[in-house]
Amino acid sequence: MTRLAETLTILGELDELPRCSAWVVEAGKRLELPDSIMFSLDLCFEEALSNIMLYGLKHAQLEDQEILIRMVVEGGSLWVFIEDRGAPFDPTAAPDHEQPGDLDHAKIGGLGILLLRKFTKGMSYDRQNSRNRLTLEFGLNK
Amino acid sequence: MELSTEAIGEDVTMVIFNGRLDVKGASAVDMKLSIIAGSRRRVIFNIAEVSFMASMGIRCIVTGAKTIKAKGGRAVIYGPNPDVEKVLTVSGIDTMIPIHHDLDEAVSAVSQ
Repeated sequence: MTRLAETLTILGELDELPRCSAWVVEAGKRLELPDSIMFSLDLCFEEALSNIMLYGLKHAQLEDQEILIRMVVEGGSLWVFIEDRGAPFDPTAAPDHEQPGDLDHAKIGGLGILLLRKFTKGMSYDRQNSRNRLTLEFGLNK
Repeated sequence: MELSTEAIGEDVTMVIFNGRLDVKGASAVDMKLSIIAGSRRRVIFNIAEVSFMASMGIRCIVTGAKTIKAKGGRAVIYGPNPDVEKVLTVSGIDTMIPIHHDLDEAVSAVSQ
């Protein structure tokens, strides 16, 4: 079975997001990912990483600031693995975001996890050896 | 991300976004947008040239629209590309801030 992988390590700082976004485009070409998933991929990286950077790693020591990213094409899907040593946080356990239909009561935040749910085929989380590991699945319909 | 404004007639202000409305883009326009939202009542958020939008971008638009509505004004969104429109619709933003693809309709909607 064909198996292709790309990896990137970034620091847990918001300034790293543009570098990650540029890497996604380049790595996506090497993995021959279809154009149709590139927007979703870019969006989900932005949401997942900014959550980790703003919350999970907020109080982490400097040596724990790295975030490891791996993309693997296997079994008709693209699998994205994101690992960090921040505070335990399981986005899959977060309650569904309920947006009121009226602007006066609109919530300003909390949409990131909703977007992760809507723009992936699947999402799972586990924590081992003090590391959070978020797995995102994207279907590949070339 | 760049932000500019254009007057349409006497009352309507079009706020033109150009670029990526991500964490970096939203923080770049946040202050300018809140000044515009605080001083105008009929506003069209023209996002036709926005190639990417994430939750921080949505936050920026919703905050602006809330400020405008709090003063008795109206805001609409004009021209999102299909990917950006999907971000807005799955988030339920279109039920609170109407989305238009026809500029004349957008102008009429804020002028009511």
